[in-house]
Amino acid sequence: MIDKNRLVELIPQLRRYARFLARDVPQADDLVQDCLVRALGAQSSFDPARSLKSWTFAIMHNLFIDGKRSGQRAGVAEELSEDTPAPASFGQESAVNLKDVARAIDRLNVEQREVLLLVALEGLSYREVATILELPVGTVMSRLHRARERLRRLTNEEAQIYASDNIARLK
Amino acid sequence: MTLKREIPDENIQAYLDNELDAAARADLQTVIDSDDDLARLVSEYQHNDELLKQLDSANLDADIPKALEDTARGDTPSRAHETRQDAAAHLRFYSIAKNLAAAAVLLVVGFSSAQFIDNPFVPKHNSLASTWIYRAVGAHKVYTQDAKRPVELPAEQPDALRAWISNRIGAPVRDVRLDDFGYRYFGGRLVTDGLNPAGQLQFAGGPGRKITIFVRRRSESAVPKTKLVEIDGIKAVLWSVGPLDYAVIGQVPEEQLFSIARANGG
Repeated sequence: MIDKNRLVELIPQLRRYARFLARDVPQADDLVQDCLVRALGAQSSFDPARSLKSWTFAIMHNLFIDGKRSGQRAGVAEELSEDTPAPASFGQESAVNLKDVARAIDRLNVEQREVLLLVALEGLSYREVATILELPVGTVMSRLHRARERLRRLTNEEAQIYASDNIARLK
Repeated sequence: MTLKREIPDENIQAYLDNELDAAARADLQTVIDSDDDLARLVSEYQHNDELLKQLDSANLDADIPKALEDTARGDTPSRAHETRQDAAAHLRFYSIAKNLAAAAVLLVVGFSSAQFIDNPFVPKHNSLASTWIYRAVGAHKVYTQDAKRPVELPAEQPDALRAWISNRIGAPVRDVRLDDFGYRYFGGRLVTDGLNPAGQLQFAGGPGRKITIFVRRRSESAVPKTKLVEIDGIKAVLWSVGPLDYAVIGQVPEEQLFSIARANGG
């Protein structure tokens, strides 16, 4: 049996993960709902030695992949591929760095967003991430490198566009 | 001396994530300390990680649907065995309840400012469905004035947007073109009709001249004929095609709105 209070506590993190995957709030909440239902239905197979977070994240990942395969949840996430141009407008100067990252994240592909979330935001170990994604640890590491490197390039690109926009305003 | 090019990228990631053992970490730290380019690279990765945390952690606990908590607690005995559709419907019930509250406010505001020229949609009772045109006009006002991100998907992806909206509302949306009327398509977004997903397509005819097409799946009787409505000084022409309701909205002559409606099945 799983600790339902702990499951409730995990909802914010499950929603964040779902949003990173689906990039659409209603779809993400559907995904979380499915994940919770699936977790409760399969709780007899839960190994207490494993972290509940890691186990539910694995369920979420598989639901998303299954949905993609069946074409039910492709949604906009797949449309916002690496080639999607960033909108060329900017906000307050004080928030530009956060905005740069926000825009850059939208331009990563779903695999890159996913591994970044699991490692950089959720603080999961490479081994846990490998288990969730059903990948070798080495693949997780190389995927993580590509994600961070692409994010770095994109944020620099965004910052440069912002800087040139400011120069243009001064003229 | 070890050079940056000799360090596998994966090791740099492992350094960032504290996945190296103490000896390997100390070795790599020495290299980083002696290589300005590598130090800068590591610093940029770390900075982005920090921004990522700030970006996505502020509202982590906000606005959690009660349906999700109920499901996690297994409060409903059959919850663990219900189908995906049942579960999604359960979740949407709470979303709808929330939207109803918002719509009640909308109704109060709307009654004070709406003029129904042909009067087909004056709510005769508290029917949320009859207020969708308020949502459509509201979406027009909000998003056509948004300088930063008026659309979710840009004009370069018209088919993707149409497929997305069609998928969400459960019926194929027609390919609306307003080029013949002097308006260029520049993108669109998913919106709501108050209860369910709806779509908004935006068109620009020049500085300040914007028209939107709102489309939703009908949940009550069809618009009996093409109708003109004015809300808050903004005119909209409504019509139905198959299971869908459309509205063309803009601060332009009503003859033009009627022409656009006729050209698209109205």
